[in-house]
Amino acid sequence: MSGRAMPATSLVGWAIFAACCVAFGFLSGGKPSLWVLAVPAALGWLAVLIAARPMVAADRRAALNFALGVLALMIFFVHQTYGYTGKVRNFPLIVGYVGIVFCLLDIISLTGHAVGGAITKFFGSQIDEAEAGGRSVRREFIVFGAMIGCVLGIWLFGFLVFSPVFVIAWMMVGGKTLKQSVYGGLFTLVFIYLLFELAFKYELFRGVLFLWLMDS
Amino acid sequence: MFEAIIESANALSTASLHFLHFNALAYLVMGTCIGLLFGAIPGLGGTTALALIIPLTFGMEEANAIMLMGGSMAATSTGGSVSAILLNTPGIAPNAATTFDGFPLAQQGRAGEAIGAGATASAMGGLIGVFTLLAVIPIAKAIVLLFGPPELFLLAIFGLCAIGVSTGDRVLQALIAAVFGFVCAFVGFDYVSGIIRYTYGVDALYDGIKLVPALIGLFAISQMIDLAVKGGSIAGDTSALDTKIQRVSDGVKAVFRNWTTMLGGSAIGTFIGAVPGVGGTVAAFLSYSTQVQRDSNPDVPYGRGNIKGVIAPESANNAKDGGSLIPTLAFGIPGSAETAVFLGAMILHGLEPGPTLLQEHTDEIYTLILSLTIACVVATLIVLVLARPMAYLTLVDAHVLAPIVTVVALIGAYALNGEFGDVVVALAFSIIGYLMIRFQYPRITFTIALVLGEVTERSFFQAMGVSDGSWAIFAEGVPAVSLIALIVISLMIPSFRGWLRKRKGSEGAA
Repeated sequence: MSGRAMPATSLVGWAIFAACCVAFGFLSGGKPSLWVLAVPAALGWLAVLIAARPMVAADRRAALNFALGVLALMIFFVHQTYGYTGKVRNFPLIVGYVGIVFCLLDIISLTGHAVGGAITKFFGSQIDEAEAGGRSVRREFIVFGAMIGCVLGIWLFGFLVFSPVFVIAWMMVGGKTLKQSVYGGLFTLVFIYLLFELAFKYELFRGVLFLWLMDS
Repeated sequence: MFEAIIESANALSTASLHFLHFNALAYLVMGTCIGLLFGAIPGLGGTTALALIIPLTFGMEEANAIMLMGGSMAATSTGGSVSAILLNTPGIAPNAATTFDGFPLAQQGRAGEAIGAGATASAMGGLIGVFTLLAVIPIAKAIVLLFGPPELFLLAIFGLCAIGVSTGDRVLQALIAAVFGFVCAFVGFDYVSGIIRYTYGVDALYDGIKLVPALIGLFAISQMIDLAVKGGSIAGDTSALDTKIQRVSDGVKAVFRNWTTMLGGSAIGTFIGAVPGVGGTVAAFLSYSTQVQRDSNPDVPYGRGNIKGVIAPESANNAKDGGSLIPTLAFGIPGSAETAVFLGAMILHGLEPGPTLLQEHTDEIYTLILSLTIACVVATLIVLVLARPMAYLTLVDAHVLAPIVTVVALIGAYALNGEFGDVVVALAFSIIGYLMIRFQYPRITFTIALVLGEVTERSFFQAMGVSDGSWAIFAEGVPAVSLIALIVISLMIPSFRGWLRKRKGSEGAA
């Protein structure tokens, strides 16, 4: 794949990106308005998206999307840094610009272009395919959902009530029997109560519902 | 220099007084047990253990907290050797080299001998590493005085580059992770200008992103998410658990019979540990391969149950603990992910990384050194007695482990300040940490940049202030120029490595 010619869409994308960089550089001089700066910043990111996508193989699209996400974050960071003046923004701006350059190199290294190959050779940005595979996106979303649900549940009902519930639910979904899951939940409850509440004298969060009930 | 040695001896004797208290020793043994447990269970490791221990240390005296954490740090790789030998599944990555000869020994019914040798070599390696650290500290104290703001700034950048390069084939991603770490470190009150940055009106961010919830999310919870996504039980082949564990003393004797192997491994481990970021895995494999090359005519071929193949990597991966603390304590540049988290914990207890640490907190440093020393011995004794029950721990299902560790970790994040916002921070960083694992962006450079962000920016600001805004200050004097040269060299290493690989490949083809 290395050394493949660049598609026309990509060429246009990179040209727009270069133009956005020039515009951003020009507009950022003096005391820039963040609203005005946002236009080349957002357009520049879109241009990289348009330029990079056709150049990246289908099995690397997930990595590309993540790299584009990080680039968006870096561009946003640099953009926001211009909201500060003087010495406050000096070091963050250096870090932000270096970050944008690294992100662009990362994105280019994912492409099949010769430049991407050269970057991979120089910096080393090989993906360990064995480690990257074997993960289902559906399962990832379920686990993320479970984690967010756990924090939400703790916020509502507190650690002492929701922690065993979370452990029981997780174990049952994982194929454990009700008895095993209840034992797991009880073990967790006893463990956190003894360790945190009794031994270390921390008052664990009781949950907003409990606090609301106490108030009313 | 003589004064420094006397001062060190005084600090060492003061630190040793802490160990006369029952509580202190209890914390040390507790830390050692936690380290052994987390080291033995594949997928957890010492960094997760430390991230979970930090919240327990909030109300403790500094010395007790250091003993708890030091015990855990010293014991992790000893615990990892048990699962490597009995299950062919390394508890932590540095134990991988132990499986080459450890597991064949277990299959031959010599598991006890392998465990005895592994645990004893770990203890001896650990002690040699710690004694080296002890010897180096008075010298390091003199060296750090040569470092001003420009050198400290360059040192932080060099540390990040060196650690980035050590991540193997993901250098660019390691550097991006470092930049992202700096970005997170900028959030909150800026001590240089006195203004609040990047908080967007969120009160919880005014003091910056709190290190402990971030580390708990990044290392403990993200690891649980990864386990849950991958699913299944942790250990692979468990048939070797049926093997009888006997003749442990033969393994202990084997270490002293092969003392040159143990000394060689310890020397490699200490040296490699002192280079930021290279870590225990490289130390263990380098020690193993050096041993194989040196022993051209072995009694038993390596890979088929040669006891020296257990001694060499085990002595190296424990010796690296002492070595990796040299840059951590002297310059505030952590040598590994574990020491980066440890540094975060030290900041929490008011011990700021950098040269001042060596100058003003010698008592705490020597307490740590003594903790590591005692923990090495305690961990070995525990392993020699309790090897089999420890191995059974690796059979715990991910569906049982993940929710319990997650809940305990979230409580740990909350317990720091009693603020629910910290739980949300831990959750956010757990997802960031998982995405970093998923897309192979090394978390270690992110952590180091997050920990060192404030010091680095302050050093940069001070250097620019001294030089009246001239960048030339970063290239003045031998230390600064040497550091710039080291940064350039470290960034050239990946391409050199690629060239070397290509050359080897073409030689092989020819």
